[in-house]
Amino acid sequence: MSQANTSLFESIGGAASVDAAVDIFYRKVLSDDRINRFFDGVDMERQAAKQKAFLTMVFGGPNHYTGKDMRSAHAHLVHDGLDDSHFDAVVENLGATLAELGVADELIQQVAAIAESTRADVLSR
Amino acid sequence: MPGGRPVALTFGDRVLDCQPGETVLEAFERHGVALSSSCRSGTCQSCMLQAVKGSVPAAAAVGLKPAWRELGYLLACTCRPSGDLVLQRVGQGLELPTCLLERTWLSEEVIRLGLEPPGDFSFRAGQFVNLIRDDGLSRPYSLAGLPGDDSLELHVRILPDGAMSSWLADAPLGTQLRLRGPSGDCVYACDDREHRLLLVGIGTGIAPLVGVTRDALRQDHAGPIQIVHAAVRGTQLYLLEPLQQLARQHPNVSVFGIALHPEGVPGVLEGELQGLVARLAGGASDPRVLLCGDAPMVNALRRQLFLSGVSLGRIGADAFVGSAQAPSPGLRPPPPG
Repeated sequence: MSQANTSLFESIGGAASVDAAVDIFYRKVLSDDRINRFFDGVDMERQAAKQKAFLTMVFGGPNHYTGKDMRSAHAHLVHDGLDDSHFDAVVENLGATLAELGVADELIQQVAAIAESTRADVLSR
Repeated sequence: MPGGRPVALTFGDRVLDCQPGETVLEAFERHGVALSSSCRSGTCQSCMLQAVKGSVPAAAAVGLKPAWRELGYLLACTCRPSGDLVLQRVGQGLELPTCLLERTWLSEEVIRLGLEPPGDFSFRAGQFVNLIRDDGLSRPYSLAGLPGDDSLELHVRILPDGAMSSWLADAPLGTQLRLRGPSGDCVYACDDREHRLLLVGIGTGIAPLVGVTRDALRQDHAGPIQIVHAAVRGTQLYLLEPLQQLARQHPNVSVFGIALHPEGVPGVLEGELQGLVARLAGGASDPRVLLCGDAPMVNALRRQLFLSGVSLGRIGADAFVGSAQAPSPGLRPPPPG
């Protein structure tokens, strides 16, 4: 998972595209009534930094995320009812963000596949 | 160009060498100093530090908000320093001795304190300090003035049950205190010089924004500056008159007083703050916004502005926590009785 997928990251537009995507993605997530309760009371600036790290990873960019990070970061949310439907909603918002930025469907599929690889850790399985 | 000699990184009470070509993050790791990191390529901002002395290479500040660059923030993973740096974790400051020099009442419930500026203390207008009493009791207060003023100016709202504030209302002048800081990133960034500034102060949250306004004017800010002074009751708008005077002197400054209950105070709008802020933020040009005051209202406004399309990088917020017994404007106070 720490292996950067350089060609995907560059095709999407690199660090600049992460910057462009983070506001759009976070805005979609906060506006989505299926999942926004999980973000109540969370510091927005710190959360935006985490979103940025997440987007860097799923765009195939350089990262040192480990499954353990994802697991511990989401454990309390699983306790509060986080399940597959919420994970699916986040992936959907991710795809919509990329579509809005004009990213080709084929690349969106690749990003979604990387996001999918975190499902078990996020949901504490 | 990285020089051919190692530089010294001071971090707390340690001095670490950083070899030519080595990043600050690598140097920390080589010395066993814990620092969180993730992308190691200047993107995720996990490893952000603040340089309080020394020059930050431009490459180490790529992608940071203008206010953060002004404050010396850097990304340790992309920082190859060309000279010595004094570093700290973001928002930590030094603890320094100070002394209570003066106190005046600005309204029925707000006092202005003047503290002796400690010798080594530097700050940017809009930041805050933690004031520490002899017995260790500590509270954060915003700095209302500019560096170079004769004293450090704090505006303190006296809360009947406030351990620190009610003590500060009576403490004899000359009392020794300590302060830690400065902290906070609600500062004027000269990148914003041509832009519209929207400054929203809730209660004593107006204090740091007066400092920011003075800082902006001193740096010949060219764009409009819109200042919103908000409270539950009109009589709590303790800086409305001086701000209106400032607006008369500077054609690019405009001031809005708003209260849920204006109570007949002239020039005060009646209504909820969210509506006014939405209207002002939606104006012709993209604003740079600073929000200061009670946490629930500041956080609600930040979310509202972000969802309405203002980028988070253009919103600075200083949410006052801990003192929030008082109701915020816009959150209706409970009915009497």
